[in-house]
Amino acid sequence: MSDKVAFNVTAKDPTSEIFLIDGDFHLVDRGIGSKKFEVPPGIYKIKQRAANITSEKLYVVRAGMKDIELEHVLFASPMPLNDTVKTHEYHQAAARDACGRVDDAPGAGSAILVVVRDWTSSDHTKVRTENIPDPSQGLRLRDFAGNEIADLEKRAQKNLGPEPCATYRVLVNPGNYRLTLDRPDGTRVEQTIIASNGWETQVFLLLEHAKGHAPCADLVHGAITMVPHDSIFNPSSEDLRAEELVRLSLAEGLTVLPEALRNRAMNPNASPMLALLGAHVIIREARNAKEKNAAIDNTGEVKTIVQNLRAMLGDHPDVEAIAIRAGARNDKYVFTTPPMLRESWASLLRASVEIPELIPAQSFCARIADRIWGDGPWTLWADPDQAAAPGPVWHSSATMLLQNLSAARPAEAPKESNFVKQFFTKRSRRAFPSGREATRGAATTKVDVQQARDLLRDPNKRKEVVRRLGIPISSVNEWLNKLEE
Amino acid sequence: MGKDDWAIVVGIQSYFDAGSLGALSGPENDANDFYKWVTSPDGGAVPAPAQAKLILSSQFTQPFQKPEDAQPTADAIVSAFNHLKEVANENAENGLGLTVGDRLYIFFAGHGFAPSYDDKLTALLTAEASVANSKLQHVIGSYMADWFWRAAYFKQVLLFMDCCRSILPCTQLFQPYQDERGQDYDLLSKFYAFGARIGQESREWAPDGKTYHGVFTLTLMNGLRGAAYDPKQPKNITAESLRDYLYNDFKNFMVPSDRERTDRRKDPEIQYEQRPNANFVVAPVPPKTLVERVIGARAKEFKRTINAAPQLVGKKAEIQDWHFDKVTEITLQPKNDVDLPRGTFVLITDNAEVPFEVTGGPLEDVNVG
Repeated sequence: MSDKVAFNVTAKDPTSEIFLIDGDFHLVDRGIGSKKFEVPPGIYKIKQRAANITSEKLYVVRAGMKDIELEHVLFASPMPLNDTVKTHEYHQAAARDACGRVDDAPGAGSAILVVVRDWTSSDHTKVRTENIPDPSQGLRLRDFAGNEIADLEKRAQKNLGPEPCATYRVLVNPGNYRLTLDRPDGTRVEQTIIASNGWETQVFLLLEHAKGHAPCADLVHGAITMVPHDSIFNPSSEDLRAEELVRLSLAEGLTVLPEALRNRAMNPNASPMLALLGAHVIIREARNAKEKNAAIDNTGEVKTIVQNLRAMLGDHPDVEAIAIRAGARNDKYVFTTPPMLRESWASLLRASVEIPELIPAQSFCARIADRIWGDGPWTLWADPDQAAAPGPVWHSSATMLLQNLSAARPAEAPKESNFVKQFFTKRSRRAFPSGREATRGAATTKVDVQQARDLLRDPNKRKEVVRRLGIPISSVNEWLNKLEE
Repeated sequence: MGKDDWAIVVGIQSYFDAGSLGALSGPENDANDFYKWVTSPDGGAVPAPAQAKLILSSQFTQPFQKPEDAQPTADAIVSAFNHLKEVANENAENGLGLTVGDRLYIFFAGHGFAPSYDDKLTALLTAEASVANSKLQHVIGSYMADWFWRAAYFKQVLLFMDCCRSILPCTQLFQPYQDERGQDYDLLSKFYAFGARIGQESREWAPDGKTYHGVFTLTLMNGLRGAAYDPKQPKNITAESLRDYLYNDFKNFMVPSDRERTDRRKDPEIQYEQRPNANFVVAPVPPKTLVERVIGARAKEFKRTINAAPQLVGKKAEIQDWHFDKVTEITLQPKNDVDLPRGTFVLITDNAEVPFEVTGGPLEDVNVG
């Protein structure tokens, strides 16, 4: 056996997963951000994965092998950052210009910036030149009382040439706001935008081109950051790049926060969005370890982030949702508005199993629980006040679920008797029925309310019901009360 | 091997909601190919049709006039799984325990999704589903596979799903069974392979210009036909070698334009817990000759084309395997075809070394100089 060769592989993007694969295509080892490999000489493949992008290259590994630095991965982001796929210099300039502008000033102390643009090609000869959409179409900013702050279609500054871009910056009082989109299919989708004192919340969106519908802003894959008030957009910002990679990697199931990012997220001067996203990855680390029967106690790290964010931002639903997970709940905080991040929403739902008053029945949060819309990292919902809002579709699902959870596995004969019997009895190989037509299942029946209540006394069953339905326990209890009446 | 195995193979390519769920061209071809392999004596050797259920769109009259007419429905597919539960109950009544057989194969191809609030699940949309009306009737392949694994009705559960895993909000997940947990179920083997990663779309195309297949199934079938052999035991395709093969060769079966795109994922998702001594044989490598049928197949070789720059033509070149052992020596011509087993290699000539790979799937030529 030849002596092993040691070499370091470092990715410019610290969230990159690095895989070393041998000549039999077998995974040898992996790391995140940076990794020292020690392997026998040979021909290996190094694969880099960041967010949803992979790249790979073969290397001849011999004694004296030099360290390898992997280039930035080219990912797509609604932020017009350098070294990303969907960027134009004129979009970067539009974002930069908007940062120094005030389009409206109904308040003071905080600001919200929205940059929405279309991107069709990096090659200027191939960009869309006909039927150019207005990127701001259908976008509005409202408060949680339903008052309109601005209709972006009317108030945004726009360039409606090829690869159009609309920007809007408003000074507001610190508080909770909703970004609302009237989609071409008639659905009104919303999300929370928190404006914190002394901070500016910046929203970057690309257009979604769905088949059969006019283009509209893509809230699902939007990027949101928080920067000190009056900061100018920097397309080379490593903080913004890191935020975007963590946001994209969250959707890919990232469960380990690399050391470099962990330190940045825990820094008292961290970018708030990086700290929020980083806290969720750290929480995932512990949850993931628990699922594998290992134990990681990282609540101290999450608490540090919570303390830092409370000092920076004040009241913020995402920070308070994380605080519950870290055992640092602020008893006085009531979740009147949904958190911005879907992970925070999921944490809040889980916590509501033990503390139902976190999401009181009929509160705004309870009303949107069965209207959660789309996927991605943000909490999006279909407007509960819209006339065509869907009914409580989770009732029949809950009925089925409660019935299933009440049942038990059929009794099995003792193993010893099986052992003897198996020599004398043939296993059944009854053939599949040959008929092609399906037999339709019986319709779902009624819920036995008393049985359901008994079942929900078990904390594990309560958690299962909330996890599977995505509905706060207060809403389930209220539904059972109504059934009883 | 095979007589105690069961298979449920589904290919849905016609949907009632043709507007939102456009007709597909590959799922039936994919399901037929997998069914052919899984019931072949040189493949999965599952007794057919008794223990292998094939459910296809073309088995039902089309077009569907109303959603209730659309087939196969979620219930039609679940009835096949119900049959396995009935068999388990029969065995339990006979004192053999709640067990069905050694291995369960599940293969699903069609439109699919990952539910937004539990995206670890992967569901196949059934014919009556309607995205436009938010009625996403489905069968969750990963739930079904997990359920039978947990219930310990089989020693091994193999799940293959060639469908999109776009994340869709679906508040009513169809999880029809009560949880059952067999003894030591966590020690039983499962091997799940998905044609797309979470949030990603799966693709189909016709490499020969005529017959459509899912990219994942193209890769899978090439592997099961022998390309995924285990280098440590070349007569067999093992769970580890199939996993490694699928990860590495998937990109080579992609639509060429997708292969070029930086925003398109180039690997499938495999869920297989690698425990010491737990690797298992998925199937023997199909023999090509009578001799191979008797003594077992040998490692397959694949043609690789090496193009040499004019200044290198006529020069000697040595090809070494990934341990730097000499495999062959050639005198370079403008175009050189060499047959090599799966693996990574290096071509050394004129003080230059060019690493390249042989994955078993279609690859672009190696250019030297």
